Amino acid sequence: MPRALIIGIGNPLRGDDGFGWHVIEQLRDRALGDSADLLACHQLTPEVAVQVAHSERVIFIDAARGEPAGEVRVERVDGVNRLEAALSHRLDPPALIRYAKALFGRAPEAVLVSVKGAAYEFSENLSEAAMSAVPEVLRVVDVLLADGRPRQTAEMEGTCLAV
Amino acid sequence: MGRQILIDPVTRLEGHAKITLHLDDEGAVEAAHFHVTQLRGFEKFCEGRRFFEMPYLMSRICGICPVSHLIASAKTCDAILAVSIPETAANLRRVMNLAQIIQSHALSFFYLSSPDLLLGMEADPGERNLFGVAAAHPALAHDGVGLRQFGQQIIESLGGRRIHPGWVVPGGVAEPLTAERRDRILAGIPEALSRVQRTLDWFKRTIESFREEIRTFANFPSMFLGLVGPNGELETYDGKLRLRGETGNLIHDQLDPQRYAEFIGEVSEPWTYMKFPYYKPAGSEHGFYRVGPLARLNIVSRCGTTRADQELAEFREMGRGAVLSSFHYHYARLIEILHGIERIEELLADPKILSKDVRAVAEPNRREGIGVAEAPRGTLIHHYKIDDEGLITWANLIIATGHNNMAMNRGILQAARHYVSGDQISEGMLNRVEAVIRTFDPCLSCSTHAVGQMPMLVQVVARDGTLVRELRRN
Repeated sequence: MPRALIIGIGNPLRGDDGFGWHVIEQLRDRALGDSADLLACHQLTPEVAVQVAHSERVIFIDAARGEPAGEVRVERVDGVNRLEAALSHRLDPPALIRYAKALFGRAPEAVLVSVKGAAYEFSENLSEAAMSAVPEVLRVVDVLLADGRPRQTAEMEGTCLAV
Repeated sequence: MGRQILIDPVTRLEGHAKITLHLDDEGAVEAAHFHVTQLRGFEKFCEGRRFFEMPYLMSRICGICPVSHLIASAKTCDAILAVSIPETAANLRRVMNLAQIIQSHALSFFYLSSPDLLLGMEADPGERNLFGVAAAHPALAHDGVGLRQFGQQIIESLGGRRIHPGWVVPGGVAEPLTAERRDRILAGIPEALSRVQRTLDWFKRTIESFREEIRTFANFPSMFLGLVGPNGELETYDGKLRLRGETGNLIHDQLDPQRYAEFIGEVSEPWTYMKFPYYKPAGSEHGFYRVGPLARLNIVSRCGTTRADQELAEFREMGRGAVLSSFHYHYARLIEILHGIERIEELLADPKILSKDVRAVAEPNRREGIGVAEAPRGTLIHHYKIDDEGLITWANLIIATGHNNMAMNRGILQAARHYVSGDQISEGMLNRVEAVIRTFDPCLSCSTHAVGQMPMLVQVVARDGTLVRELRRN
């Protein structure tokens, strides 16, 4: 069982929406060996639950709306019940984790690393703000792979984690 | 004054649509429309592009069946090059198309329709979904994700990625298959066969409980269209067109797909972006036909693989002539998954599948090309014209879901008349109307060829034609 599954989500033809794909490409060049499986996808579909359930840890990398552009957010993913996700073949990270648990009886620890994008028009390139966040995201991934235990920080709101 | 029931959006479909039901003064359904409210315009914006870019561009029409568009488009480019592609390339494309059909049918049956079939049309929508299936029938849910994964992994193995693979190119395929990748695919065959057989066995045991849905879900006489092989066998990559009538009578056989324009016409309606193809000799009023899994099993002489032929024989016991209820699209999908797995095994068992001769290279030798293949939802036609520089000057796409447009509208009306009464409308009634559409598994992204949604006009019209209300969204 690989220790980690890293999933980049988005559309690589829609500018910063392809952030996750971009990071996966960078990670492919690093030859992570058996420590992690890499997956780039447009959407999270139910069959991805097979890989999720057979991993010890899942790291989702995705673009997010909001400001400031380029801000990196790390949060724990819980298997929250959302009806809208259940009505389709597209799942969001919490629904995918919940589906993996429903099918296989186990849900790995999961973290979402998101970057606030600046541009989502037709483009295969990242905006300057998103591009500048890539090294930080790679560092976060390195820490998660090495340590695997993001820790909650009291001074950050919500589910934001420090790594 | 008549009233209108609006189901918007219709859920568990590929794309966006709404259904309007027009009620008469007594509350009975007198008309039903399936509106597709998105427009994509691929035929127009590809004008001026280089023809050899088309397979990759066209595969972007859809994230569910990109392979089908890739293949139909590449075949169109083969025709423009006027090349006969190497046999191994044709068989590798065939394997990928079958894998596409397997994964798409698995998505339709297990992810989109099985909640209705397993949990009941009247079940709480909060439970009637993927999670409800996983809780109530975990084995079936496992088989669903396993079959979809099987198909997707074959596409990834061949094309390098699951969605929008670029491996199919004009003249053949970009790279030969390696023995290692072939063996990896073959290793998954036994489990995939077990999964689909288990599901088929369950479905056949359960089917009696859907007697009312079978009777009322788009169950009417129609013609059926699809590709067949030279001996009438199920063929999804190449072959000739066959058209059968409701009694199983042969209307056309071994019709060259290059002549599609002689017998398929299209009409438009102001209330939907999806066109209505029809069989020209019968006229637009009476020339409607169905395509897709049900149609294919109705037109073929045999599937051509052992287990699928056994299942086909049982399937045909349900109808005198053709099997007419669109509810049986579900059943047909399972048989086609079985056939696809068996056929992939056959194709990969041939040592020639590893041949390095996988591409014919040529310059354009014709100014026009037509490419036809069977997509998961039915017959897919691409037709391009180019100029002296090889730039696209005109393109026409007739999409599988479009062929079924007339049948879907008639099917909604039939189900609505049976289930919906103006005074007593329940979630289960409306879900049955939606479920009729789901049997066809329409892909609206494909059939409207949407970059976002177009401005839309909504009109409520009384029986006497008076405009009651108009809403305009920009």
